[in-house]
Amino acid sequence: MLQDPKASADWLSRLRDAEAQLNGAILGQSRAIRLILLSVLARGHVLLAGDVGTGKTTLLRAVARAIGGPYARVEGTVDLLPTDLIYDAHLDADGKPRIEPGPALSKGEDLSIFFFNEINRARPQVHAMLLRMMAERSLTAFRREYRFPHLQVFADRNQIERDETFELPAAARDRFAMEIAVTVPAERDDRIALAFDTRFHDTDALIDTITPGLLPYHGLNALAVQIQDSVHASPVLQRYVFDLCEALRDPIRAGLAIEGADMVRLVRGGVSPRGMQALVRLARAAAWAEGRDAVLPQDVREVFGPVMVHRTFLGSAYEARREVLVPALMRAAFDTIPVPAE
Amino acid sequence: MKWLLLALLPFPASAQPVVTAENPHAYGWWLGDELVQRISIGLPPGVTIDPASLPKPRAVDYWLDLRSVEAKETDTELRLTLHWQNFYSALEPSQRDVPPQSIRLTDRTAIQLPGFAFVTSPIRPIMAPSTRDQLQPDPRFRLIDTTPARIGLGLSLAALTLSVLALAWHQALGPFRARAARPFTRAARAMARNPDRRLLHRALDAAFGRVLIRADLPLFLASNPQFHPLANRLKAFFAASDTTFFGKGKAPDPAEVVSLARALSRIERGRS
Repeated sequence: MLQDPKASADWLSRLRDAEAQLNGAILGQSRAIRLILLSVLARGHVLLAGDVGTGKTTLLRAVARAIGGPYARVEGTVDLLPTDLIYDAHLDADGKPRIEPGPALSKGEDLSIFFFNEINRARPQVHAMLLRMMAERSLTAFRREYRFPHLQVFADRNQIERDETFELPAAARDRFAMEIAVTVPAERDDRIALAFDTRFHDTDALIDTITPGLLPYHGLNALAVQIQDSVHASPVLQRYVFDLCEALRDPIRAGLAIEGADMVRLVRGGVSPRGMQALVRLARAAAWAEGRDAVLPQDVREVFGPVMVHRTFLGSAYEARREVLVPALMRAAFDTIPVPAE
Repeated sequence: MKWLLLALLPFPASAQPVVTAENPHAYGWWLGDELVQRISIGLPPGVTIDPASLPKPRAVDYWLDLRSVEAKETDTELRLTLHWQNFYSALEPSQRDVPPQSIRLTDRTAIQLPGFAFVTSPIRPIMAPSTRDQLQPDPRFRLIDTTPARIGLGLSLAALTLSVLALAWHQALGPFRARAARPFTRAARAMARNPDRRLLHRALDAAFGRVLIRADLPLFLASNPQFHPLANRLKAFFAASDTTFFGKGKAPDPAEVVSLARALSRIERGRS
């Protein structure tokens, strides 16, 4: 069905429609919206990082509504255990203990979106359980395996508090295709509107303005395959992607220099093959979303930051300043790595 | 009223200051001798000499020069040293009279510096014959060794030259001025031999200061408005590059790229 160009054009117009509606409901987050939609097209899990009250949860709920399908939601807490996601233990009306499917299972295998609010409040055991759910889209419970072919995990974490939080282990972070920063809207008008316009006060009504199922979830897997198959990535572009990733891993050999950092000790670990795969998938999605059939350097640059930011590990002396240093490092890579190279 | 005016007139010095002179001895002087006269003048409190009234070194007469006058003043006393020189070519011993001089103090007192007399005599008998033999030989001359001064001069000149060169290098003056980086000119030259469009991409990167991709072209044109007349050709160049390198298209005819590089180079050199 998707092989014909008409279906592809139909998807594209639906995508534009969804993007416009989301931008209407959530002000000043056009870049985050674009990146989340790209992650939907590339079937990648997303981690939202940002300050409190910037609309992370609203954004995720709105996107979930646009995609449609069953979704489950969990709030991260210190005492949350992995089994709490899978099983729901309670006393029934007769006062007998009962074990029933928990949030992850209650919607069945059709689950399209799994929200994890404040993921950094949950313990590492929970993160470990998520690893499998995200990487293999499956769970074992009630002595059988559950498969979630349409599952996409959205998680958010706020960056203000450090008490009673558990930083995501590198392995768990690597499973997220992107870490999208949600910041306070830059425009003054947007911030004034968010405060004064009563439309934005009722989140439920706001989300109801989104047409449900605009990007039907059961078609997204096929669409993603189609996008990855049809969007061309030339050898020159492959070389560019490789050079960029390599520059982040070994900035000295690439000739990068940023102010206020000793390049020898700056970077401790670079992107994994899974990370590069995510980069390519998202770049292809970005090219398709722009209506192109080939990936251009600008597509790579568009998604490079969110894909790499949580996969770049700095030396311990620089970790505290990563909010400044990682973007500076990426900018230096964009400014230095030639394209098209020989 | 008259008596008041008189009272306001400056008082004449209440007492004439004491002048003691130590004159040169009165006999035994020859042609060319220097005669030193020392005079000390006692000064009333608060009074100094009027320096303009000191005798000027000068030719006082055809046979007498006043060579120099030194004045040393203390609170109570003025010491003057006058150096006279005698040019009187005497045929026989004769007495010469040095005239008195007049000076003035700040309280308008005029003081006479005493004159003196001396007897000067001929150097040799008047009747002695004048022949060439009487000329004394010149003293042996001694050459001054200039080698150290020459070496010093040479070293100083060398140091000066080096300093000037170092300054010029540091300030990028004259021959050290960096030639303007002309990436497009270099690219146009290289592309005349090898029409590879990537050379033009590298030149654009160099002109932009960082890697330039199609999406940044408006930024490039905004920061380098001189290339604005070529905006459409640059757009077409990037579009063609995108299909060549990233799409499945074939490389177009290189003639346009070479001509674009030349056009960019002309603008870069300010020729159009």
